[in-house]
Amino acid sequence: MALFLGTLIIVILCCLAMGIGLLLHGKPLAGGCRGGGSAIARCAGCPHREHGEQAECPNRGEH
Amino acid sequence: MDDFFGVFFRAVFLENLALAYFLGMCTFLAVSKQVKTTIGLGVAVIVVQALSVPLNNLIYNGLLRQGALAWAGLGELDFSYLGLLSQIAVIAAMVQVLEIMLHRFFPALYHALGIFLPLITVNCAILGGSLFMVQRDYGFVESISYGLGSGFGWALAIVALGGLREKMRYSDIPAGLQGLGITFITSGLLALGFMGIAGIKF
Repeated sequence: MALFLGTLIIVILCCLAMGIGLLLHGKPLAGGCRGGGSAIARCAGCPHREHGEQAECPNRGEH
Repeated sequence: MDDFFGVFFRAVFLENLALAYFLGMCTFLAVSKQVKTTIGLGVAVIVVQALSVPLNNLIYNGLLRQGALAWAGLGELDFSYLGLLSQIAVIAAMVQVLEIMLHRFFPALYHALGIFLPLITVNCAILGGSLFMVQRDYGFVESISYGLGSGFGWALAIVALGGLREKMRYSDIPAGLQGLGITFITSGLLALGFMGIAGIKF
């Protein structure tokens, strides 16, 4: 019984770990436009984009 | 301390994941056309490997292996058959968290790494590092050293291959060998070069 319950708990924890990206999606930790001053180019959609150099920010997968 | 550096140098040169075990060959061959991209991928592999191997070591030795739960009176339980599942979960979670953190705090690096970051979730060199750590029964300090060393070794191999492939653009390669053909031959020669270091005792 202990083996079954332990396995169940570990498998559930592993499933949660694999889906952590979905769980954190939209939370303050994710995304954002914080830059390291004017030296870093800002992407489209970020505030104050007009101040510094503007980056193209290609879609992921275009490399 | 000798052991720490010994494991590190062995992982970089003698037991190089790319050139001795041929792990992570898909990205190794596909993403080695330019030095710039190989450096990005190499850094991502070093970071993920250096974090995931020690974390997997802690989980395996502190939770999964037989007798690990003796402190809770469950010493007879053996969850080691869940090792592979937990290692994959840790690597997947690690890459996702790293991606979120980079997106939030280092957007320039995030966009530079692009698709390579999620790709290393399925890079078998990363999983191979954790599996070797379990197979060789490394302790926590050794696993830190092995994680750093194996990641650095893989990065070193792909940057070296990237540099060679950039130079080979100016070479007169026979038509039948152009592209992947000459890349396979170059990888084999690189692997032979790394095997030459095997005579040195670390």
